[in-house]
Amino acid sequence: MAGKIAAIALNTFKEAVRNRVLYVLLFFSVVIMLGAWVASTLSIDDETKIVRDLGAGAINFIALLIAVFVGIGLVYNDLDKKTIYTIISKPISRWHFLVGKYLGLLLTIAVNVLFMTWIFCAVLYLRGYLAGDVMYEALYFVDDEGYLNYRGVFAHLFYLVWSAVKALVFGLLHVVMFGMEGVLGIPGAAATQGLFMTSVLTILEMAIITAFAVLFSSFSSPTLSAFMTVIVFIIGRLNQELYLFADTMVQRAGGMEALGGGQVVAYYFSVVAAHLSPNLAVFNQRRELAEFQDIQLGVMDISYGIAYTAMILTIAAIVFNRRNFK
Amino acid sequence: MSRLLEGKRGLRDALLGVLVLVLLAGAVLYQNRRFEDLGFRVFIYEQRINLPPSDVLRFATLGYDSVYANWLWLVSIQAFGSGWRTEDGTAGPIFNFFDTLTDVDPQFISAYRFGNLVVGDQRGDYELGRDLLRKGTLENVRNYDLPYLGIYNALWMANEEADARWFAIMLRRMEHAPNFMLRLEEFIERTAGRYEMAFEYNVRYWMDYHLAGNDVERDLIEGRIQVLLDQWYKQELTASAERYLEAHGEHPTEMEDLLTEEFMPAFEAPTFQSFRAAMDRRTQQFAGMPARREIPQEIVDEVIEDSTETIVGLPPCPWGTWYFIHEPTRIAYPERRDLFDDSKGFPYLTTAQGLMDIVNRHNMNAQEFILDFYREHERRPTQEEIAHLLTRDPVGGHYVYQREAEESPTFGVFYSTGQRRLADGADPRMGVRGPDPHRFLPDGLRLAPRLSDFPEEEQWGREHGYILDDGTELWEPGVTDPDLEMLLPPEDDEMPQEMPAPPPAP
Repeated sequence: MAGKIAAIALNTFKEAVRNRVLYVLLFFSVVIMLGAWVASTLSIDDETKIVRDLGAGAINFIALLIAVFVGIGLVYNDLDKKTIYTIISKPISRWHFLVGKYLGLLLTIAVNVLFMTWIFCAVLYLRGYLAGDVMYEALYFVDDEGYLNYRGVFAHLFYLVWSAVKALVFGLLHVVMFGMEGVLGIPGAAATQGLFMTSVLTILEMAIITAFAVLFSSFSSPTLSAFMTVIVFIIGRLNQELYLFADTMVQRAGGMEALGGGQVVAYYFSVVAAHLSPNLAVFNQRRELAEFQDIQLGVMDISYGIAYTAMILTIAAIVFNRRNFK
Repeated sequence: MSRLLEGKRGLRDALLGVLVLVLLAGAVLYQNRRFEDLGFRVFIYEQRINLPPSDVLRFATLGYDSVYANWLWLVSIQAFGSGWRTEDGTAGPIFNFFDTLTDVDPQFISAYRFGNLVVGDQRGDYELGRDLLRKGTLENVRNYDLPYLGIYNALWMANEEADARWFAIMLRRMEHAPNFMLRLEEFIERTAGRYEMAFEYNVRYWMDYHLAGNDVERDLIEGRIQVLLDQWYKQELTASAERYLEAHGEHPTEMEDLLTEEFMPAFEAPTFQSFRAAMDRRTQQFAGMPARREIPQEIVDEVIEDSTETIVGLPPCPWGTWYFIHEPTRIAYPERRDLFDDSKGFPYLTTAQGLMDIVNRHNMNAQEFILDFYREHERRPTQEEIAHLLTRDPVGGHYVYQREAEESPTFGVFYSTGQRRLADGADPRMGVRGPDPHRFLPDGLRLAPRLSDFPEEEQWGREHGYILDDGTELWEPGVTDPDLEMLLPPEDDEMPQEMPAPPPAP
């Protein structure tokens, strides 16, 4: 069973990486990260906060776009091109197919998120190496008479290239060492603190969004799937705000009894929606990342993400099993 | 064209085309007229700084709230650059902008600081700036910059002790805040004239640092206690001088005038000597206590009780010198009150220690003069060349230049005999206290130091024109009005010495 699912997942991954949309999104992510660096220079304080915040936000947003725009066509394309017949005619369950598709897409998202994390770490390292005082020390020396001398244009170019190479290598180390490259004593490693954990949280968040995309893709058109997935994302992001909204409405009215007819409906809708929708705020610790605070990844958070995803995939499998392909 | 008009169909199309052009021209003309009616609109930045309610923004940002807050932050900087123009010229819209920004990202410390800078400092609306800092303090319980800035503004911008105290209480909860910030509570109480409370704080600080083995901070607190007691005593002495002024219609000329029960009733206050003795007695008690233990209130109360005395007459100077009335300041004070800060009491009430700043300043000027002279002439100045600096000092002595001394040209060759006498403990008035007459002083010796107190000084004074034949003493030869610039005690530094500059604006 695992082999079948893995085969479908791998195939889905190969299919996804051939998708040009993916590369366009990745290109834009790199542009946004470099843009974050530029934007941070406009600030008169907290430059590091801004660059980390914008960069991590870009990773999250691009991952969301991948989840939505690649996820919605995941099942639909097979149905549309009739390739599903060749698959389900083999000794493979429909839910194997669905879960395989899901895992393939999740793998695609994870690889892309880690790729973006690598690039962003490189940006952060490079930003450190090109900081005024660091570069100043590298490019100037004091001669015997006590004068400052510039080491020259070639030295400057070499420094830039060497810094970029170092940044890329150390950025890669951040990813492969699960964000622990600081233990090697790499200069400037503090700038990337917490980034890997934030990316893991993004992957967990996207696991839920992708599950919804797969669910909607299993019974509706890509446009409708995209619309519904985005709605779920919005409600999930506003989950806590919805609950607070309902709570505040009751407090302002002075109790449940004082609520009008429309308000009662709004109250129950908000409360039910807040409880049923995924709480994506659990996976949003980018503010903590920007402030260099500890990123908390609790067992309960991980379990919640996995359980919620399993639930949605189960529903998707039930719907998909009942679906008539004719 | 000819083909277009060919036949009925072509003609019809041509007519329709013309109709379209006519309608379009009419529409363009009408729109152009509407545009002209719009007139000139003044660009007001407020249109951009008026943000939707933060509840709406938090919904709209979909979890990318801190990213949006960063954007608003960058906008605020640009707006600052363009002068933050608002329609009514008030700080209200700017405050709302930062209020909304910090609602979206409550951990944006720089936004609170910058907002306070713009609203409080630039626009002068202290209360709105304070509100921003309060919000930031409540939202960021681990950040000590904001309450510190709040105290700074409250004390030095608005003179609002209640606000300062609120921020200080918030600061107290932050154990990782630097020591000098945590000690601001004492400074607030001292500034407000609540010396008992300030003393209690200092006693606790002293014991805390002693237990922690932090001798540097402990000694700093000792210095703070000396300053505190000096301010306390001066407050009492000022009250005595006010009574005297009321009774006689003029200021007292000598400290001895005040030392009667009528003007200077006994009062309860700690003395530095008793405090030191109380602490020395407790050294054994402290030895057994863990370094991090909070000092029990009973011990603090005991120390305060042991340190407190009934002070009758002249209070004891915390630095071991003595209190007296500084004559040049007394002469100048009624005429030149603009030079003095009345809130600190009568400035002529001082101690010999309090005048050391004047002596040190003069010594420094002399050393700089000698150094410059040496650079220019490669020799030390003669007595004649430095004669303008060889004046009398404010503590009953005079300045001496030892040209032939073996030390370097900039050190040790210039000094004050009065200061040296104090340093050696050779002045019989050192530590004098209690009710007048001070019978233990040599005959004729008064509290205010004079050249005629010591034979060698008197001789110098007569030789250099400071003492006239009839015994009158002058502060400058041939000049009845003293040189205020040289003789006035420097104003007390408003800031505690360890208080750094305010946090820089972002």
